[in-house]
Amino acid sequence: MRTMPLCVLALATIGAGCDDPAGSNNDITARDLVIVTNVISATSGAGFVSTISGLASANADNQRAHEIAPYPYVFVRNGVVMVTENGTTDLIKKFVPGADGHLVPAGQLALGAGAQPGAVFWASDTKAYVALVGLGRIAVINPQTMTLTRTIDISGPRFAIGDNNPDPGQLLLHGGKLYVALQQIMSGPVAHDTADVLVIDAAADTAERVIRDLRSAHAGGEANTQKMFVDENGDIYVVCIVSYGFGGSKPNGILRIRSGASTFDPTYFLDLKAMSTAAGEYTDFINMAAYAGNGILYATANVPARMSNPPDFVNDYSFKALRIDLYNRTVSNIPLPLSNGYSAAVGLYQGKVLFGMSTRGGVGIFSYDPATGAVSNAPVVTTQGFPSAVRALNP
Amino acid sequence: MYWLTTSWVPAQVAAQATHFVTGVVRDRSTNSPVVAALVQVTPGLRRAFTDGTGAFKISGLPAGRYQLDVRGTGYQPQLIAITLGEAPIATIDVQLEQAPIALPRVTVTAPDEIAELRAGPLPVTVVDVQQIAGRSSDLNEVLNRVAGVRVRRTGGLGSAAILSVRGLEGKRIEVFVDGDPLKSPDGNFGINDIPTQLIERIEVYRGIVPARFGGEGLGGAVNVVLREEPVPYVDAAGSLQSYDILQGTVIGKHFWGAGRFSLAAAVIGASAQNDYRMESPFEPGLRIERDHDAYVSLLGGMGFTARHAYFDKIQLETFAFGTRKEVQGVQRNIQHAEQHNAIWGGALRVEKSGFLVPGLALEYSITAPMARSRMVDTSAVRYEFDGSNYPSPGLRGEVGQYPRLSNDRRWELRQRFNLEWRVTAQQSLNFHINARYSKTHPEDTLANRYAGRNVSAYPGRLFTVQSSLTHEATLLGGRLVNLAGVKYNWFSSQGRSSPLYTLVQEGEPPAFSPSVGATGFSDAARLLLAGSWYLKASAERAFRSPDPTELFGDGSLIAPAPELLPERSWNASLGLLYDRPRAQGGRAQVEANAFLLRVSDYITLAGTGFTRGHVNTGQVRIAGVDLDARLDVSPALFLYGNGTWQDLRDATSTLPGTSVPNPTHGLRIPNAPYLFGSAGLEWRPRFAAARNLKVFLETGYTHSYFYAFQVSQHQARAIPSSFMQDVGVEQGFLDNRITLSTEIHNLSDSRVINVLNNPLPGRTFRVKLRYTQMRETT
Repeated sequence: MRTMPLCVLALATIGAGCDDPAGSNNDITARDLVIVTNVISATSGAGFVSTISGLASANADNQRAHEIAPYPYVFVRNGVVMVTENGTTDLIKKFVPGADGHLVPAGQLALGAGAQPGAVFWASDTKAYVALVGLGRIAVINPQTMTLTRTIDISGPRFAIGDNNPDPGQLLLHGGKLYVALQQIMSGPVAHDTADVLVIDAAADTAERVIRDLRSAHAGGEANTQKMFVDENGDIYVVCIVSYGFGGSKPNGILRIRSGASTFDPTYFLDLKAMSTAAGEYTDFINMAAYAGNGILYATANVPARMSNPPDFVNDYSFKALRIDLYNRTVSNIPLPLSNGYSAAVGLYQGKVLFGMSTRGGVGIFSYDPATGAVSNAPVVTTQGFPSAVRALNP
Repeated sequence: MYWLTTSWVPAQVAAQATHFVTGVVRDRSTNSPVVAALVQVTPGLRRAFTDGTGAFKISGLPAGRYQLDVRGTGYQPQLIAITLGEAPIATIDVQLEQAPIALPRVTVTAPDEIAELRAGPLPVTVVDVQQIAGRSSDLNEVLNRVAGVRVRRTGGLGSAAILSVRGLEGKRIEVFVDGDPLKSPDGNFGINDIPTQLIERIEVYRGIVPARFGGEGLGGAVNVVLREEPVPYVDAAGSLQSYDILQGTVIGKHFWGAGRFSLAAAVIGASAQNDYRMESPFEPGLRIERDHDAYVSLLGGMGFTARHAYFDKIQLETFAFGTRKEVQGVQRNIQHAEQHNAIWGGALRVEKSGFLVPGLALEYSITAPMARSRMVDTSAVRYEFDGSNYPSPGLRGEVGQYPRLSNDRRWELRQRFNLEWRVTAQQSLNFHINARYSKTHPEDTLANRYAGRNVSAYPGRLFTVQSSLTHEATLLGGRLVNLAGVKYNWFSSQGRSSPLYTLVQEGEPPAFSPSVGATGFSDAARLLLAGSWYLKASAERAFRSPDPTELFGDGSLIAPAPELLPERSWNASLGLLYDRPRAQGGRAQVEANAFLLRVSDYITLAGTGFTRGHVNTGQVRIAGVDLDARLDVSPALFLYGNGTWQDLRDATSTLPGTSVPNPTHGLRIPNAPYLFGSAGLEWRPRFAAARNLKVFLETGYTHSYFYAFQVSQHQARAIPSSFMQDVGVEQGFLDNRITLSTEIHNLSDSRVINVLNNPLPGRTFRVKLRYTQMRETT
């Protein structure tokens, strides 16, 4: 099934000035897990963002959740939740935990007609970057006051291929530079055959150059998952998804930019097809991912052999959970049930890896314990709707 | 598209018939036919006008003795006693003496066909459109006042409108014109494009679709019955509305050859700026002036009719319809994108009573419409709402990722064959078959070039056959009427998938040839209890076959789904009708219905992100009641009111394809109105100074409903409650040949939204002037 499940950035706080909010919300520590579920009808749909008490409850309903557009992008930093609505609005919405731990609205910002805000990355408490996917711009906002500071225009032929919009996706701030994964979309989900990352000087907020590699394509993909991240060595890893499997001649995989380098590492390309085949089953594109440290990336990825052709949006369960060792260049399967395209989220929480999955046996949050290898074959938390994000509120 | 010259007496009326009276009215001195003579049967209210050949036909008469009251303009009235016995058909030829003084213009009051339809077995509301032909209201507004019906619109004139009956909407409600499915090849010609002057009435079938229509209605249908004038006439009307909306209609009909031949022609045009202001639903505080929402349409046609050759009637018709619609942006300021559509074609229709054997009536028609649709979206710049601009992110185009310059062509061939056989005075059979072949050829080389692949839908073919057999019986001395019908629909389609989904990167993508058949049946009965009380009960097994868009996707981002099954529903309705003529004239009617529908294999667009496709998923249960009351308080005052409560629930217990409990099982289906009603009055002052004056007030209320399943205390998106009021005055001059009406729509300037993020116009002023030589209905 060539579905493109919309997922979330599981750990948006890599590096980037994470002030410790400890003590500020002692009364709400019970509700420390942010989830987004999606409830769809024949003629409409909605996403619901809420906090739940970790894995303590067997069921999580949406009674205290806030309605947003379906399959939104969610970003969390120090107890602040930012939501962009997957191109259906031009708003960025902010939520914070209330006295009872449930989220309450804390402001919103309209970013202009057709802006379609996507990824959000905090530089500090008062500065954050927002990718304006529809316009080919990067907004600089004050997330405390929810005001627009400036915009960085990256549209035009200098950075875009084929049109005026380089389609900014994933954001990552590291070493004083803002890295912007450029999707270079041709049409629909199909991207040009190049992997591009734009480098912006975060001090001056000016675009500098594009780092390009032709071994793979479609760097980062959509904004809603952690497919561009930095490891403990300061190396940046970029997951390339090659048009979500829709055509393209380049292999899916992971590229690397060495710390301080201005090009991709020519010695490193993690070919997902080869690795996953070696692990027993070929997967093409990584859907969602979360970097757990020490070179270990947890992800969900699509198994083409489990797709119908044309796709069957009811009966295709083709997304599996993977553990990717970036340093040893190996992939291993996590024995969770397969998910359909409505979920397949990944997040890290209290030493466990959580997967938001929609499986034949249940819909909700599944868990994997890296220490013991134990997995849940049924949802640990059953959700009211398809989970597309599961994130620690205070990672 | 028999919109010019046709008439058709619904079989349902005939269902209650026991005898016919037919004949010809002639001038005694010249022997020429008397056109538009009024022939009325007493006792009772049944009546008919003679056609261009002087012929008339009155059906639905129980056996007994009657008087025919025959009147013609310029002739002396004549009363003729008749007795209807065992023979089902009585033929009466009448000769009228010329009168020295012409009679006043003939006026019809409360057409009894409408009353009989209401008293039929099916839950139906009949809108007498002739009553409102002088007004500037459009048909969507008229339908929106019917019990069980909502019309949800996205904007002003020319915008999309979604018709909903008893909670089912869109493709699940089929619209017919004189019994033919109104499916213009490009979907662009809608019910609102038919001028009210051409319409006799609109029948809204709620819950049960008459089998004789065939069609794909799942739980309701709308049948527009066109008006046929048996006399020469010219009718011209023009209206002016707020937001620079202009509409004009000129219709005429000419007879020659002693009424055997006639030629009708019509030109209907509309122009609208739709430039109302609205709050942006996307950016708080932003006021948007809809400055790129203009709409222009032009409809023209001619129809030639010959009578009393071998066939009773032969019609030849040609028509053309074109529109240009600007694309109004709501989330984004669009300034150049436009949609152009054109439909043209011809039709042949024949009718023959006594076909092969007495009592057998034939109707056959063949229509060949062609259509072309063009989406023009090539702007190199995009605009902010403050007027500033920037280069289009996709190099060209304002709407999507890439420009559009499409040239989608379609043509169709439709045939309709209908046989009605009156077996006995109490029973008849109706066999109906409707076949349609259509071919689609989409093309957009510009979009393909910019997108880097074929993003146009691939050419497709569709062949459908809809057939039905209906048995109608009048039993228990006329107290019980029963309609039993069975229908079978079959279609075969050929098309191609998109290479996007089939992993084929070169050459043509694979072809699919799905073929689906489905059988439905229904029974409806009406029992006269006592006095003026009727009990109605009906049940139906209905279906809707997937259409080509659902089967083949859009060739770009919607995947094909060749394995789709038809949607199916069980429908049941139980109603009580009180219908009584009032001593002072007019009627008192109250009808209450309870209904239950259960829809399975519901077709929805599933998937996330870029990849979507249609699937059979889920069940919906709809239970509800509607109440409809009409009262002629006096000859001067008419009141009506209706209310509908319909409870749509998700009846899917587990997620599709799994045993996982469905989290929305039992919840109210969102984005569908569930409580609404209308009320109004019309006052026709009887004093001399206000002769031919009508004053009317219409109100409508729709209760707020959520856009998505209500699972949270913080449900953010809702369609707000709305209360609308329309007031107007219509004044007739020169024996109502000229009417002038003024109307204020949405008097209180309420903020009305019935499709999310699409605010509708506020207070609207309208003026309409009409000149007509048509018969008047009051």
